[in-house]
Amino acid sequence: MSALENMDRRIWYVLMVLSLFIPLIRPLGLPLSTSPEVRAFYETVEALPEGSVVIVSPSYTPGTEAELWPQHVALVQHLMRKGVKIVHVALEVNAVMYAEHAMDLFKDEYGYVYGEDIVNMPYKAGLDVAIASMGRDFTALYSEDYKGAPLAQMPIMKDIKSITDIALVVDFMPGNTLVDFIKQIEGPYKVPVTGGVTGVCIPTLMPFVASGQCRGLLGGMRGAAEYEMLIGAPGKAVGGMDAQSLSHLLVIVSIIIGNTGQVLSRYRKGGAV
Amino acid sequence: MSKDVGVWIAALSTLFMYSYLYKDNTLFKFGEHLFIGVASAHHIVMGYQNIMEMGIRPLGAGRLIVVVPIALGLMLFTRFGTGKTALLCRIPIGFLAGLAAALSIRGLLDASLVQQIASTMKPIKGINDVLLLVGVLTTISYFLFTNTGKNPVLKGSANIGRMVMMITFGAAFGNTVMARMSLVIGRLQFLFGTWIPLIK
Repeated sequence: MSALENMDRRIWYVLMVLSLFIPLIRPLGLPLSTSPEVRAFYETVEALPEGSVVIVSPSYTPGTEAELWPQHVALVQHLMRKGVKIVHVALEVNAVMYAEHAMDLFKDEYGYVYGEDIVNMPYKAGLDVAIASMGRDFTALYSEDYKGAPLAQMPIMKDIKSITDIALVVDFMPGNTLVDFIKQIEGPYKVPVTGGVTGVCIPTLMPFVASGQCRGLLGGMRGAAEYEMLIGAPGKAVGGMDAQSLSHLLVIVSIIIGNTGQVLSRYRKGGAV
Repeated sequence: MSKDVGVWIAALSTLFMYSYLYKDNTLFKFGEHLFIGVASAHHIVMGYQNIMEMGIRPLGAGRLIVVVPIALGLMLFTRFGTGKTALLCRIPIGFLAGLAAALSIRGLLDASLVQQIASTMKPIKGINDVLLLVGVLTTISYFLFTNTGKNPVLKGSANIGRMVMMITFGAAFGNTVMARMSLVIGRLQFLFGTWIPLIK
């Protein structure tokens, strides 16, 4: 039993890498169900009328790109398919880069013209301060786009006088910005808010989803995979689900083995189990 | 294999960092220092750009009000001074603390307290609603630290609340494990999708 307890952890690392790598090369095709939170997110976006304006805030970093980039890409594709106009705001220094990449992926396919159908705002520091400023006076906060072009001359901004002219706010966060959007935008101005989070942040946001303050939620890569299936565009997130399932199975097995080893070890020493 | 230099740098950096799983080594240390250096440089550049864009250029354009935040920002550096000069940094820190508190209170009371309490007041239609009610009440009772040892009802309720919290923390840990696996999957998709295309 001490062998179980004292097993070299590098063996587990190798098993973990194999459990992740093999399904990526040879997909198993495990079934994927849809959770109520992801369905609510999908239906919130699906209900948007053509021509409405949505704020998308990719508030993530390269460290959380694996979970949030697939969510962001799927959303942009869904919005463009519906003919919804997109205003990318940047509360994180990398957001401008992600907004530009997401826009470039699909704008030609759906005929989106920059300035008419989509615009990228510059980075604004301050997180919740910037979000509160967005609510108080959106046009005062943003006068130019991320390249310095005046927004007043862009057709997409002609009907945006305040935050209440926005149909939906979608935030992708590894931190707290979605909660800040709920506090500073959804609460005072009643603008619908939804978003995607990393797996770590799911417990933080679930109370807001349950109360209806957040209209659905994409949780981690799993949420991105479910959303990709709902919009009929399976991508990287769906491709990672078999690996996710196998790795979780390995974690469960390792927990059972570890705890079994510890319990049997204590039993053999004559202590309480 | 990819011919992009950036992809190669990213792939090798990834492998350097993962080499720590075998044991601490020079490649890992190199990758660690490289990351810290690049991240610091990136922050410095972004900081400089922000100051120029939000402070210096508006000031040059005649917007004199930005002198106030510039002055407050400069006062932060007085913390490195000595004597009474070092006390000046408390003014901008106090301003920041007050601003953060005001913003938090504005959103916190409604979004995190009132709305959350209101959402627990729903008609009981099924087992989930019962679990919600029991979970909320017993968890709150755990944090009543007066007389719980003597009152058997409160003591029992606190014990149930503790179990509810343990289940919650377990679920949170499970989500954390999922998140970490997703990050590794993302790296593997990059290594074997972009760098060495093995994933179709």
